[in-house]
Order: sequence, then C-alpha cells, then structure tokens
Amino acid sequence: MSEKIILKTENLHKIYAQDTPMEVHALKGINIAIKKGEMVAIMGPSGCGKTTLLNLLGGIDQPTEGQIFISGQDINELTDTEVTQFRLKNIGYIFQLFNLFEFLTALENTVLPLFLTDASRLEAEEESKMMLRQMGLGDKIHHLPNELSGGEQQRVAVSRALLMNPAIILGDEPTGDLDQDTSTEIMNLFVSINENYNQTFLVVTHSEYIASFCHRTIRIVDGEIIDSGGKGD
Amino acid sequence: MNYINNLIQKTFKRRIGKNVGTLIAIGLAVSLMVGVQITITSFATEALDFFVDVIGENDVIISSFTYPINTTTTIPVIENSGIDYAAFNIRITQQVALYNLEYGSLEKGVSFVGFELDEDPIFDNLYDQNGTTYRRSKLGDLFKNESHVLIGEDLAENLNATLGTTLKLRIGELNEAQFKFDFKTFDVKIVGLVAEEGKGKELGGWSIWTSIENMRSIIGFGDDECSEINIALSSDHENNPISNEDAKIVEEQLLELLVEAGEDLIVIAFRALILETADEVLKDVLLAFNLFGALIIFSGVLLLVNIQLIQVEDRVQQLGILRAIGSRRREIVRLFLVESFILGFLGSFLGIGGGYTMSIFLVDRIGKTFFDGEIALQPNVTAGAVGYSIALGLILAVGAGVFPAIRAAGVDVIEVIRGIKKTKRKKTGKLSLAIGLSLIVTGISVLVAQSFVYDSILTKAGWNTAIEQWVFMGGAGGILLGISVLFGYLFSRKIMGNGIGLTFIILSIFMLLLSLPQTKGMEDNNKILITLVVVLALGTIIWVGVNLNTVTNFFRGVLYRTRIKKGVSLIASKYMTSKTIRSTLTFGIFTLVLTMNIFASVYQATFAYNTLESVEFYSGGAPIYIELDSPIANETLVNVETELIEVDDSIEHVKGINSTLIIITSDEEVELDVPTNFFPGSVDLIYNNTFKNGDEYVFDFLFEQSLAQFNDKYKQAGSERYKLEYSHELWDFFYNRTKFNKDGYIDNENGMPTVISTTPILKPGDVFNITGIGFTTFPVIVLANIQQYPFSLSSMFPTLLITPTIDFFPRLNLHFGLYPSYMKFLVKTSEDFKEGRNTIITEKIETFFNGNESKLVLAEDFVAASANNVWEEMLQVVDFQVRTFDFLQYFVGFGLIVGAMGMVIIAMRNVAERRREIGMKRAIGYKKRQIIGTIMLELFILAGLGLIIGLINSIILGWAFARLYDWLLLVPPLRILLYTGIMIGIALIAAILPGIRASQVTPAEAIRYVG
Repeated sequence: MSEKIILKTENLHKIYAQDTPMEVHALKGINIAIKKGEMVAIMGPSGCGKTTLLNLLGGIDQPTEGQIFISGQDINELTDTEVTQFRLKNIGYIFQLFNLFEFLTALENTVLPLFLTDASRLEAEEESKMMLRQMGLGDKIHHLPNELSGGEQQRVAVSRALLMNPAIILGDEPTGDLDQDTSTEIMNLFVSINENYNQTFLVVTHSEYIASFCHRTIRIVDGEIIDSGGKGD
Repeated sequence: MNYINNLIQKTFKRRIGKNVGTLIAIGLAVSLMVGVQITITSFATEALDFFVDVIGENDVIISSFTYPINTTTTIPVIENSGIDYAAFNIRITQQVALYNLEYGSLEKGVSFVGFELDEDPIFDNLYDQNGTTYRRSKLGDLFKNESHVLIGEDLAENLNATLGTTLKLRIGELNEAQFKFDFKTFDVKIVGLVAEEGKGKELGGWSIWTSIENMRSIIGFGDDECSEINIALSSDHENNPISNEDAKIVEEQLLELLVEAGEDLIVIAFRALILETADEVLKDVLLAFNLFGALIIFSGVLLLVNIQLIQVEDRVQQLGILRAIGSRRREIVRLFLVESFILGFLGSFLGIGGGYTMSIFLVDRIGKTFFDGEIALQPNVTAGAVGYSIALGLILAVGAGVFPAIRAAGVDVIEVIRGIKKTKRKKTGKLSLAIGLSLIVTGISVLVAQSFVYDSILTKAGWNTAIEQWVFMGGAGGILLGISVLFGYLFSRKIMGNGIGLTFIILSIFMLLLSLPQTKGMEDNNKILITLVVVLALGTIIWVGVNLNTVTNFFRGVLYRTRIKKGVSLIASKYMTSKTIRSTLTFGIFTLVLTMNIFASVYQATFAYNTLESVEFYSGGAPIYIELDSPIANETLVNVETELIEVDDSIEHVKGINSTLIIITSDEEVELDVPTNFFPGSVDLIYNNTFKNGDEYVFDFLFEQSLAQFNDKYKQAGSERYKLEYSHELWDFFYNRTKFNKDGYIDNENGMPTVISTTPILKPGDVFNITGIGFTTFPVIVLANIQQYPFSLSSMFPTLLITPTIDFFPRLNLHFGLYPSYMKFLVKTSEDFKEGRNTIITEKIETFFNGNESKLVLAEDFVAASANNVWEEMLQVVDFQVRTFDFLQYFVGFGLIVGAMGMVIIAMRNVAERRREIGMKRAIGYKKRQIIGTIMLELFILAGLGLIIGLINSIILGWAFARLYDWLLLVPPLRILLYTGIMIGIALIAAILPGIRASQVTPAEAIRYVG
C-alpha cells in the first residue's frame, strides 16, 4: 500500500426523484479517500446507499452534487463517452449475480474489455488466457458460464476486471451469491492479488466476515458515513 | 386455478408495453395474410366481374360465321326444344373497318350489328351519351334511312367523328350463287352515340348499330336470314345464375337438335366459354399469387412464433417462480395459450385494418399491371374475409403460441432460480425412433403406391405430371427425413437437423435438374417450380439454422478484420448463436421473401433477355408481317407482292398467305390444353414457295417438338444449322402429305392428315376436328410445333399451317372462297432487326394500304391493314411479362416491409429483455455507439444471411430454369444491388430504434434488472 490517493470523493450527494413526492436522499455528503493498494469494505444495512455509492464511483451514475477523483481525474467533468473510456481503462467491475454473459465462454467473457481496445485478437486472447490460468481456470477457458461453478464464474469475472490493469476494482457484493467456502476462496484471491500486484479494491458487502479480509471498513447508515475507520472487526 | 386467472389479468396490466408490441407483431403478421387474401380474392372476383359485364345475360350463341342462318327452320327448333330459356333474339353481325376520309382516321375490328328493334330488353338497351335509354320508337325513326347508324362513343372519338359525320365501311355482300361474299364500300351516317353503359357494354362500345332490316338490305340477306341467335337462359344471372355445366348441356342439346333438323350451325355456350377461359387464364396468375402469397403468409407465421418465443424467454424468471410455488405445467401452458388467444383476437382486428390497407395498394397495382389502368379495381372485403381473418389470427396466434407455451412449461425451476443451465441430453428420445421408422415406411409405401396409382417412377411417364412429381417428393422426402430422425436418435440432434435441411436442399436440386425437365406442360412445370422454390428456401433456412454457430463464427472472423471493435462483433455474433431458434426465424423471414423476390427478378431478366435475343432468329427473316381485315377486291388495281417493294428501298421480299377462320373441336377422348372443347382458330395455307425462293429458304422456321418418332432422333443440343436442316427435312415430310393414326404412327390408308401448330396449346400428337363453314368436321393430328412464326404473335387464337395438297383442302378451298385473296403478308427487309427502320417501314406500309393517297382508298376498295414490327410486338409481350414479375416482386415486397416492421418490434422487445446485459456492457466500458452497433450488427448479419441465401437459392433456381429452356442465365446486378440496399435500409430502420433505446438504458438500473 502506498500513500498515493487513488480515489477521493468530496461532499458526494445523490438524490433520486428530486423535487417529487418520492424524493430519496440516498447519499448525504460522502467524503472518502482510498489509497493505492488499499482494500476497503463498504458496509451498511440494506438501502443505506452502498450500491449507489459504488455506481457513482464507477461512473455509471451521476452524483447530484460533489466530486469524484480517480487517479486524480474528476470523472464528473468527463462526457459520457469519455467516462466510459475512462471506466474501461481504470475501473474493474465485479457484480454479485449474472455477472457473466451466458452466451460467451470464460475466455470470451474475460477478453471483452481488451476487445474494445486496439489490441490484436491474438494478443488479447493470449493475455486473457494467461489471466485465467492465474485464476486457476486454465482448463476451463472454453466453458460457458453454466458449465462453471459459482466460484469459478466469479473468478472469470475477476479475470475480466483485472485484465485492463485498472486503478481500482469495484465489487458489488462479489460473494453475495456464494457459499462460505467459496466466498473465502474468492476473498483470499482478492487478498492475494492485492498483495502481489498492489491492486486497490473497494468491496460493498453485508458481511462482517467478508469485510474482515479488507484493510478497513467504511460504514454507511442512511446515506452518511458513520465510520471510515481502520480494519474491520 | 384462480390464481392463474388472476395472474393473467395482472400480467396483462403490468406488461402492457410488451403486450402492445406483441399485439402489433400479431397484427402485422395477420395483415400480411389478410392482405394477400383480399388481394387475391379481389383480383379473381373483379376480373370475373369484368368478363360478366362484357357478356351481359347472353348464355348461348348459335352462329354461322357470318353466313346466313335460316330463321324459318332454326327458330322452331329452339322454340320446340323444351329448353327453359328466358328469351332469344336474332342479329346479323359483320366485322368491318370504318374510315373517316375527312380526317384519314381508320378503325378496325368494329362490329356492325343489325338487331330487331323489339328484341327482349334482357339483351339490354342502348343508352345515349347521357345514359338515357334509346326508345324503340325513336330507333325506328332513326333507322328509317338505311345508312343511319348509332356508334359507340369511344369509337366515334377515335374516328374524329360526331353526330352527322359520314363514315365509310367495307362490308361483304352475300353472293349466294358463288357461295362467297363480294366486298363493297358503304357509307353510313352517325345519327346517335351509344354510351358505354349497361350489360354487354364493352361489346357495345366498339360497335355500330342499325336495324336488322337495314342490315339484311345492305348485305343481301333474305327476310328469314340472320347470322346469329343469342339465347338467355336467365333474365338475371346475378340473382338467378346458370351454371356452366347447365349451359353446356343446353349447348349439346341444341347442337343435336339442329343437326337432326339438317342445320349445320355452330352452337357455343358463350357465357360458360368466356367464364371458363377467364378462369383458366386467371388460374395461372392465381397459382403464382397463391404460392407467393403462401410464402408471405409463412413468413408471417415465422414472425408470430418469434414474438411468442420472446414472450416466454423474457418471463423465464416469472415462470420459474410460478413452478417453484407449485404451478403445474398445464397451468403454465394454459397461461400462455389464454394470453395468445386474447392477443390473437385483438391482433386479428388490427390485421383486418392492416390487410385492407395493404390490399388497397396491391389491388390498385393489379389494375395498372394487368388491365393497363383501364379498370379501377377495389379491394373486395366480404363478411367471409373478416371471419377468415379473425379465425386465421386466432389459429395462428394460438398455434404459434403452442410451441413457446410447451417450452415455457418445460422451464427448469432449478435453472431459473439459480440462474444456471443444466447440460441437456443432445440425442433425441425414443419417440423419434418411432417417428423415424414410420416416416421411412410411409415414404416407401408412397413410392410403391405411386407406381400403381400413376405411372411407375422407373419409367419416363412416371415423371411427366406435377402430381406424380409431388407424390415422388413426398415419398422420397419421407424416407430421407425418416433417416435423418433416426440419425438424431443414434447420434445427435445436430446431425438430425442437418439431415432434414439437406433432405430439402438435395431433393429440390435433384428435382430441378432431373425431374423438372420431364414435366409435360407449362402449368405443371410452374407448379413444380414454385414448389421447389418453397422446398429449397425451407431447406436452406433449416440447414443454415442448424449450423448457425459455424456461420456466425465465419462472420465473426470476417468482422474481426474490419474496423468494427471486436467486442461488438463478438457479442453480436455470439448472441445470435445463443438464440438459435429466434435467429433462424428472423433470417428465415428474410430468406423466404428474398428468395422469392430475387428469383422473380432473375427469372424476369433471364426471360426478357433470352426471349428478345432469340426473336430475330425465330422470326425467320420476316421482321414485318401484315394482316388485312378483308381481302382486296380488285387485285388488278394493286398487286401487293410487287408494289409493296416500291414503298421503301429496304423492302426486299413480300409474300402473301391465304388465311381463313375455322372452328376447332376436340375429340372427346383427347384432352387438349384448352379450357373448352370448342374454340375458334385459323388456318394459314402454305405453298411450297411461300417460304422458299427456288430451293433457298427466304423465310425460315424452326420446329420445336414433333411426333415422338421424329423427336426421339432429334438432337436438342445440335447447332442452329443442324436444327434448321432438321426442320426443313420435317417440312418436306409434312408437305408430302403422309397420314398418321391416333397413336402418332404413319398410316396412309386410315390415318389423318397432319397440320403444324404455331401455338404450344396444340401439341404434337393432339388429335382434334376442324370445321369450316357449311362442312362436316374432319379430324387432323398435329405433326409438330413450329417454334416461332411471325403470325403467332398476331392472334389470341391458335393458328394451324396446312398445305394445298392435304386431303381436306379441296373442301376448305371453298371456305377460302369467302376470302379469296391473301389476308396476310410476310415482309423481308434489309434493315437491322432491332435498331433498323422497320417501325418507319410499317407506317409506310399502312399508308400504302390506308393512306388518303392510297390507290385502294381512292378507288374505295380500301382494306384495313395492320403492319406489325415483330421486334416491337415482342418488346410489348416481354414488357407485359416484366410488369407481371414486377408486380410479384411488389407483392412480395409487402412481406419484406411488414417483416421489417416485425423485426423492429422483435428487436425492441429484445432490448427490453437484455437490459441487464446492456447494463453490464456499459459497466465494462462499452460506449453508447458500441451498444447501438451491437444491436444493429445482429440484425445486419441476419438480414445479410437472408440476402446471401436468397441470392444463392435464386441463382440455383434461375440456373435450373434457364437450363430447362436452354437459356443464358442472367443475374440482374442492379436489382441485386437494389435488394442489398433495401436490406441495409431495413436492417438500419429495424435496428436504429431498438439500438438507440438500448443505448439509453441507464447502466446503474440495468445491472440490477432481473427481468
């Protein structure tokens, strides 16, 4: 872990259905800072704004107010196309459910981000294969998602997220659909990547157990940070 | 069960947007079906109505070919016949030419009708230009002067004539002593105009009218003589129709009674003849319409199944939950079928509206294509059609919903709840073993039965009709499909699918190459050809569908080499493969429509090119032919053969031909390719020097088919020189009057004389009777078909060539006495056949005969001459064919448009279904335009597949057809480009809306979306 701040938010607000009777103030002035190589968990009860925060950080939703800096770039200043391009190169996403394209093989699912760049097919496929091998899926690169276990599917998703060597990987309940053993296996994988490659992780979770794998836990209640403290309990 | 009803209600409300999409898709598919049906019905009924209008209430005509009928002896035969007739009349009619000397205007083929002023109004009244009926007493006053006539309004206009104008006509006056007509010039004065209204208006419009007394006086008929008797069996055919069969019974009865009475007259069930002829003519057009229509309807069905499948797939989650909480499979089926029923019912109503709108355009186009815009056709929507549409919409919507419903019921709860898919068994079950075996047994039985019911397939005769070939296709198809299904049981479903697809493809190509050339007639030929279009299209759709993975891999490989991002190409191609059935249904629609459209354009181009290329050769060196309406009375005044050469420096040779009308009656035992056993024709009398100058052929000809013993040794692939020599040999044989028996073998003692047919209607080996005026009939046999003979373009009626040396000529010779001189001429010129001045020369020839300075006109011995440029005539024939095929493409084009609209809906529904996937893509880093690109690329590939398969199918079909007629295959590049453009346009339109919608999906919401 270095001292370099890789992600920072300033006074982040998100209001849904603003100025309507159904208005929801999902995030209320969130300020966080994550250092390069840090593994951070975001915890909180359902509806507290965890996923909203993750979506804002990933640039797939816009804040109502406030700023987000990733690798020093204020992503709110970017156009939709620019933010998409930025996301491709700087942010890796891992979802809880249905996180793979069911009609693509493990290799094809992994290679997708590189296929959006000018990399040659052979180069891109070779790199993806290497990544899958590193994830222990060397013998399953041509399997479809429904031919893989839940843990294997999530490892494919991790491979895809890592492929572009992103500044940060955002995980939205990455083990939410997995049993305890597999969850441990995936989190150990995250830890190992974090340690070996100094990869930054920001993981949204309900589980104290999952949070325990991270360096620190940010707790949110009703859209506000109540604790941005040290390592989880 | 109540919860299912409840669920149906709730789902309908909640899924209103999606249901509207489905509803529109059903409406579009039903529109196609209804539109096709209304168009075909309208065409058939309106075209028949047109003929019925022409006929009036006239059922039976007794005629004598303008020669007198003795009313004193004939009328009592009718009155005492016991036939229940409504009324009859007597008339005298002659075809004349009318000349307005003042303006030099001439009109040919005008009926000069003499009628009884007190004839029964059943035969309709004459109306003046205001539509008011001419009173009989007024007509009596008008016709007091022998030269006074009424004239059809349009005819008068064409002649620049009006009330009071004097016109000249040439009419035959009976010379009873010499049994012939002497032609004389007669002046008539117009005293009234006849509006084209009322029944029989079309005949009335091109006529001049006088009283029968005046007519008798003009042409020398006695008081008890007429030339035709019209009999109406019903006074109101609309409300009290007479069947064709009943009319024909009356025809036979009258003929028998008249023969008994010693009256040798022609009796024709006129109404039945016209209606049956119209039916026959319509049959071919309707066959093409129906088959093309069936394919359009089939593409509508594909659209329906497609949309119904989407209904299931985007509700898999809901179905899984339903199954998990205890819903039985049949309840799920019921849920879908009830929904299908409701949507089908509502969609049918939409379809009626859409179909009617479509038919407005199509029916209007029919009027322009087939009737030169003269008839304003209206879509004909009957209560039956509405009922049919609703029933069809329901049957198809529910029918198309059965497969998806079964699929829905088969949803695996575990798969749905856990979001995984279990690996399925790839082989087919035991049921397929039974199906496969029974298909094979049935196929073999069909082939065996065919040999008993029809001719054996091991003989040539077993292949010469459409029904035999259909049965063979059924039998052979059954065996091959059975084997494919067995392969599915033994190996895999993919092998089965390949087997089924290849069965259709191989069978159609086999039939195209080996069987199609065996069919006897053009009609059978077309039936088989269109069947093969369907079979080939289906085969290719199935085959490509089964191998979609390989195909899309290929496309992906190609796309990877383009500038399109690989991520876009990968998703687009893989998504299609993952939805094999839906993708197959989608490109299937395009394949069907494009196979038809491109084939029609390939056929059109090939037909037009080859016909026009060959016309010079087949014209036999006579680029111009002339027909006269009556013979030149004073041949010492003008000798056409010598003087016409002086008309233009390019005219090299002119040869006259005697020609006369005859009646052809078919032998009951012989089936001719004609709608009736009784129809008019003409004979051209050919002398040995008609075609030849010494031993050299000046006007040449080519035989196409001849009696088996000549045909069998004929080398089809021989050079043109060989073919000409062979034809000359056959001609010499024909000229030397060898007789043949019914079986087509030489029999000089008891055989029949031979004739040569210039029309494919009367084929080699056909035996029939020909009748001249006042003579008993005699049988003849057709020796050969002449491939092209300039006059074959000139008449609707078949022409037979005879020589002066055949046995019956002395008897026909008297008949030629009615028209003693040449009625036709062949003209050879030195001009280039296509580019030369032949049109100018034809005008000069007409001026020679009919111009104000013509010797004939000045001597008032004018004849109405039509000089025709064969090339121009052929261009018109080809133009009509081209327009017909244009219409078929236009017809099918609607399928394409509606198919495309359906595609938009399907693609929109697709986007809704794929929201989560789109959200994931956005999260990964797909730009909006890449999302649009993915959706568009999918449709482009499917549309492109349809285009490529359609093109390949069309070329295979076109090639087989060209091979059949020894034609050069022509693939029209502009049309293909046009269709490519249309496909790109359709794919663009069909993809852009859903694409934009997809790009607007908010990723944050989409990735949480679970359907």
